[in-house]
Parts: sequence; structure tokens; C-alpha cells
Amino acid sequence: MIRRMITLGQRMPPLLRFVLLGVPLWLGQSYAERQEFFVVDSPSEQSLEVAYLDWARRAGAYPNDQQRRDILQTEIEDRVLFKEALRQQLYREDAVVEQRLLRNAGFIGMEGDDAEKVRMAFDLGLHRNDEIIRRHLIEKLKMQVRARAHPIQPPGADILQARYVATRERWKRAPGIEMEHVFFSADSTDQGARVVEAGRQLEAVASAGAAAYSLGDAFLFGNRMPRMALPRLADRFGASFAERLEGAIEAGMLRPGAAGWYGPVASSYGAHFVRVLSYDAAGHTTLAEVEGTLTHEYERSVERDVLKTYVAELCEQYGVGRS
Amino acid sequence: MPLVSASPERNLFWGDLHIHTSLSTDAYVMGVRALPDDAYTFAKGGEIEHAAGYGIRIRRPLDFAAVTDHSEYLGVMRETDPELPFSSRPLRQRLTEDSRLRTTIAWIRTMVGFNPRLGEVEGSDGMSAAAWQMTIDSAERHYQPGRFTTFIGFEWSSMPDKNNLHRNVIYRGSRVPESPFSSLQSQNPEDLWSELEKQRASGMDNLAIPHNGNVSNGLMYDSVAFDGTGIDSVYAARRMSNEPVSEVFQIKGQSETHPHLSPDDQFADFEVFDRILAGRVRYSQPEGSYVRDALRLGIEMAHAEGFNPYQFGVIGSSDSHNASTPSEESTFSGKLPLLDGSAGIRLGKSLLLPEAYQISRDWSSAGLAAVWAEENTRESIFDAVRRKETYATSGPRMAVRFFGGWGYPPDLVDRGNPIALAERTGVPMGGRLPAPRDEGASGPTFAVWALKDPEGANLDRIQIVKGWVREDGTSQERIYDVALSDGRRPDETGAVPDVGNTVDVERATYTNSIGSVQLSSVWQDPDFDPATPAFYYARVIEIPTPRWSTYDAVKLGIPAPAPAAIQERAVTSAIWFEPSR
Repeated sequence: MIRRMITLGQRMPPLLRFVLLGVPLWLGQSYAERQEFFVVDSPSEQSLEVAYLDWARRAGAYPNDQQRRDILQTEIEDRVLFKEALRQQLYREDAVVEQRLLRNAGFIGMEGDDAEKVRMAFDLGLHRNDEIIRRHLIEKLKMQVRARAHPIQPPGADILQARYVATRERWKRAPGIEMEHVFFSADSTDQGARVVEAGRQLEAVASAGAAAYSLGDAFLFGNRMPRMALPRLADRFGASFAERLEGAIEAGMLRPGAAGWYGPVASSYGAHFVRVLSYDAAGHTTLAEVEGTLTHEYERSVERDVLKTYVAELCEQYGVGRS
Repeated sequence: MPLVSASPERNLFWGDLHIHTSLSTDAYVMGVRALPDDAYTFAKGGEIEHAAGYGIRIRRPLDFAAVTDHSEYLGVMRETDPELPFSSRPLRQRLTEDSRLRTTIAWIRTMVGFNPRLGEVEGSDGMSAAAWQMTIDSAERHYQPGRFTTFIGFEWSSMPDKNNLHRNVIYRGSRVPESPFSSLQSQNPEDLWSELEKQRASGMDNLAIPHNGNVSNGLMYDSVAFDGTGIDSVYAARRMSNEPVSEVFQIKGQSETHPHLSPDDQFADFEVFDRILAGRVRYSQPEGSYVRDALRLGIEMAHAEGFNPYQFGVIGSSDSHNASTPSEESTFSGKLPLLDGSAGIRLGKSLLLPEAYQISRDWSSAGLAAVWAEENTRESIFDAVRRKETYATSGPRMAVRFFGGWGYPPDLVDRGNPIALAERTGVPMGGRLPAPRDEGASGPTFAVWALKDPEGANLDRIQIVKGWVREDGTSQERIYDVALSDGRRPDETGAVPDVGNTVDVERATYTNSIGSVQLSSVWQDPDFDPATPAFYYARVIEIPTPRWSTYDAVKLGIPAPAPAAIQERAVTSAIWFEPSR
């Protein structure tokens, strides 16, 4: 049988013989090369150990089995993404890559103008071995894939509510206070008498605004304080002042929105008569207040899902070889 | 929900734009293992571990912070972990278990073995890229608009002939370059500016902040450019667009002025550190090294040439390498653990070293940056720094407002809406005075107002520091006491009695029985010359309080070294007057 085929082959014209034998060989070689290209090296034990130690330095503990598997998977995915970015030639006409290649070209002493140096650097494959170019191309590919997620349908109320509940711990809020005060500086030699007299007047007339402020001294931050969290009030007036106000509010002695003045309350600067304009007890920021943040996070999560699917498909396409 | 509501009259925010972690070569070699996450945890009020093995925490959280590790071999030392004394045994163990002799040997081995070029290893680019990404990720993770602001940044550490020309680069947003510019690429600040300008053109808004002019040997604010050529209008414009503020207080001393430059300034001899940082023992020349001198040179150039390369504002920061901001004297924990990580090291009790090598004795506790910004966001704080509505403190958090204008009423600060009124006809700190409304206007008026740190010491006085140019083209400086505590008044010679001193050196305590909680003044320049340029800035001085070394001495049970007490302070960005040309 084989002898007959050889005889048949010998009787064929040379051109036909070249086509019949050459084409399958060429196709086979192309297939083999393609198969070879779509393989990434598995990270070596040594490089993985470096990654584990790096992780340990950041986290304060050596990664467990699952964490080590995650580190390995991330490393493989990065290798796949980088190879795919090279296949798509994302490095072409990229300013970051060119700047980097110019720097590398200068380092190894290449001569010529910038365009020549970049061309020679590409010819030498310097773009394949530069860590910054590698990271840049991975990020570039990821950004292109994330962009495919758009336009994203805005999340419905149920999605936002679910995400709000799941992250409720994040939205804890310290008590907030908005207040005005009449200030009596500790620098004043007759501070005590002035405070007593002002207290009498404020109680008798229930003055408000500028008329009340004028009974006291000017204060650098003004008489009306914008809403601020209680710890910030403590930073501004001293801890005992903030504690006294919080205590008075909780005991019902100082009612937010009430017309009368409460005091005198001692601070690091002197004495104050205070009216609380609004007070938010410790609680949680409402869903309406964080809707923008949650929507933003939802959109990022959709982008991440698109990227995750893409990377998973890419990893199926690529094989992992031995390093 | 923001911690403080936004305000068009600006809120006061406190921060540190100069913090290092173990990603910096010198920090890692000298024992630091903390990372950017630790720096932000600390700034927000959390406790972290100091490299010497004890917990550190700031009493009051900061509003903003930036990790600015050295870009040269960023993160490489951490990855390569070369064989140095602290690779095998941490500082705490050495301090608690070893003899002074053995600790000193470890100190000498580290200092002798320390060479920034240890970072020249194969694959260092990849290590630096990962460290830069960690810096970015950490800043992004900790940024909480309205509550706590982080900035992505790095330190460009140019050191020609061991003279300090360092700058911190701060980015306004999340768009940053792939890798930070380093002095390995160029030691010339103009090359840094070129890179920053290129980045700004591609949407990465940024600025650079020079620091430690005090150890630049006259190079930081020189009368010529880095390459020795003359300064021209292009250089001046580039410098001011790239470097709108300078850092004037930090651990390695103050850069406001030097007694040699300001012999008539009774408060100039404050936390002076002028020893060149590396190499043999030598000292930085004062001329060209200090901010006030630079402001004076700037107006001289404005007068003679029509351009001013030194019209910049000021901030303070830490330059701590421990991922922290040790701004309080009583809890000072040092800058580089091996040099000052414990009271014993700082005061020379844990090491057997001649005093000339105990440089940390002359270091200060950290400074702080104060910024008047609408809200606590990257954009608002960055923009305030760019417009120079900032001031520096040597650590305390006194509030200071400073405005300049024409014809402010004497009772401005007592009026109901002084800020709106001051801005209607004038400018805040960092601004340029508008032209006077009428030709024959008398001198400009300045409204200045200071409130003590609520957790700190009372105030001694407010001063206005003026620099102006004489007919012969040379500049002069004069200091006016514009508000004094305790009802003091200058005598007929202009001398002001001292505020007093309540510091108990044996116990490291003081009392607020002297000084004022608040001082203010509306001051008109009595010596104004409308034909020449001038600058004015405010300085607020606290009553004497114990220096960190006094607190350390009490802990160690030894006599406190001099000075036992210091007068901490705030220095504002200046307001400039330029005659119409």
C-alpha cells in the first residue's frame, strides 16, 4: 500500500506533489504555532513564593490554601491578559509604551532618533519584558473590556435597597449638630460678671441672632456653626464642651430648635450660651443620601462582571504550560 | 454625610502631605515595616505599631494626608530585604535585650551599609511598579470625600552634592502617571517641572512642594537656576505654576528664617537644624535656604526685573518615615526609628555615639498643614493649596485667618460678618493686594485673627512680618507686634515684655495661666511705600511649652537638655503688594 502511494507520488508532476504535501504541512505548522502562542507559562514555585511573602507582608499572615490558590489564579490571569494584549497589538501607537521603550533604549545605548529607537526596541522585543509596559497593557485591555459593559441600565430600587442593607455597617453616622452660640472669652477680666448679666438678659428677652451675639465677644469661627459631627465639635471647642452638649440634649435639657439659650457651657476658650438648631442622633445615613454612591458601585460591579466573564473565556482559550 | 458641612467662607482642615512608609529605602533600612494603609489608619485616628514595637495613635485625627515615599527605588528594599541588622532582629528586640555597645554596633553596621544604590538590582522596575500601585490603591481605598481626604503622591529626592532639593509631588485626582518621576532620571528641578507640565497637559493635575530648604546649602531658593544660569520670567512663571507652596515646618527643622538672616527677630532662633544630611559634618549656608529670605529675593527681582520666582505660600508637614504624624511634643515618636525611635535613642542613652552623630537631638516634632477650603475633598483642598490659602504650624492647631485690603475698619473683627467684609475689599492669605481704590490711599490694612489650639497652649502674640524693597533695590524686613496677650503694650523703645514662662521642667508641664485664648488686630502699615513691592505674613506665637526632649528627659529621669521649652507657632502664607508698573 505504502509502496503504491510512493509510486503514485513519483508519477505526479512536481508542482502537484508540492501542493499536496506542502499545504497540509504548512497548515499543521500554523496550527502548532497557534497552539503554542495560546499557552502561558505557569508561575514558578519560586515566583509564587515571592508573591505569597508579599501578600503576607501586606496582610500580616501567610496566605492559607484558598488564598494561595487565588494568588496563583490572579497571576495566571495576568499572564493571559498580557499575552492577549500583545496579540491585539495594544502596544502600537501607545505613548506610555513608547516613552518606556525610549528610556530602555537609552539605557542599553541605542542610537538614532526617537522613532528609530522605538522601532529597534520593538524589533528586539523590549516591550515584552518591561514590567511597567506589562502592567500598562493589562490595565489597557481591562479598561477596554470594562467599557463594553456600557451603557449600563440604572439599578432598580430593589437592587439599591438590597445593596444598602448588605453594607449598612458602612453608613453609620456620628451624632451631628448645628448650633449658634454667644461667646465670652476667657481673656476678659470680667468674664464671670458678663456671663451672669448676659444670661439674665438672654433669659428675659430671648434675644436671637445678631442682637444676642452682640452681648458676647467675637469668635474666630463665627457665632453660627455649620452642621458638624460631634467629634469635630470636640476638636473645635474641646472635648468637655461637646460632651456637655451631648449630655444635655440626651437628658432633654437642651432641645433642638427651642428658642431659649442653654448655658453657660465652658469650653477651651471661655463660656458659651448655646442654641442647638438641629441635631441628628447617632444613626445611619439614609438610602437616599447614599444612592449616588451605591449606583456608582453597582455600575462598577457590572463592569467587573463583564471583565470576569471575559477573563474566564480567555483563560479557556489559553492553556497553561510548565514554566 | 460630611463631618463638617461645606462653607463658602471655607472650613479649616488639618493635614500632613509628607508621610513615608517602608516603601522608602531609608525607612526600610532603619527598621520601618509599616505600609501606606498604616499611614492612613494612623491619620484617621487608628493605632498602628511603631517600628520600635510600641503602639502609636494621634489624639485628634487629621482631615487629609498623603503618603509620599521616595520615588528612587520605591519599594525595592522591602522586596529584596538585603542583609542588614534589622533584617535579622527588629529594633525593639535590640533595644530591650542588647547592650548599648551591641546596639551601637548594629547602628554603625546599618549606617555604613546603607547606600541608596542598594536598590540597583535586577527587576527593580517591577518592584517599584508594584509599590507605586500599592501607594495608589491605598490612597484610593482610604479616600472618603467629606470625611477624610487622601492624595496620591511621591517624593522626588534630588540631592546634588548631598544638599537637599527634595520636592513632594501631589496629584489632584486619581489620574496619575504609570511611574513616579525620580531623581535618578534628573536632579534638576526644571526637569521635574517639565514632567509635571506634561502630565498636567494630559489631565493629571499636580503640584510640587519643596521642603527642607534649611539643609539645601543655599540651593533651594537660589538667585540662579540649578545649572547656574540666570533666572528669567519664564523660569519664574514655571516655578510658581509648579511649586505654589513650600513646606516650612517639619521634623528636620524649620525653614522660615535663621538668626543669621534675621538678627532682629527675637523668635528666629527656633528649632534651627542646618546640618547637611549626609556625608561629613558640615552646615548649610543660610542665604538661599529659608523662606523669608526667598520672599525677599523674590520682591527684589520683581522690583528690578518685573518677575518674581518666589511668590509662594507655606504649609507644614511631618516627613515622618514611621507612617505617622508625630506632631505633639508630649507623644513625639521620631522620624527614623534607628535615629530617634525611642526616648533613649533620641537623648543618646541607648547608643554610644559622640553628640555630633546624634543628629535627632536637634530635630523637632512634626509640623502640620492648615488649609482653608470649602469642603474636605481632593479638589477643594488641592485648589486651596494652589491658591495658597494655607498656613503652617510647628504642630499645634491654632486657627488663623489673615486678610489684606484697603481701608478695613478698625472694628472689622468685631462685626457680625467679618470674613465676608474682609473679602469684599481684600484678599485672604496667599493673595495679591488689589490696586488701591484711590491714588492717595494710605497704607494697606491687614486683619489678622488667631484662636488657640483648643487642646493646647494660650497665645503670646500675633506678629506681621513685612519685607519690602528700598530705593537701592535691596530688601528689608521688619516685624510688627500687632496683638499682645495679657494687656501688654510696647514701651517707648518698642520693646515688648516677655509673656512669661510657666513650664515646670522637672515635670514637663505648663499652665494656661498666662497668654490669651484669642487675639486679633486690624493693622495698617505705617511705613508703606506705594512705589516698591512688599510682602506681609502673619506669625502667631504660643506661650512657652515643654519641648519633646523635656518630656523624654522626664521619662528617662535625666536633666532636660536645652532648650527645655519652646514657643510653638503658626506662619501664614504671605500677601503681596505690587506697585502698578
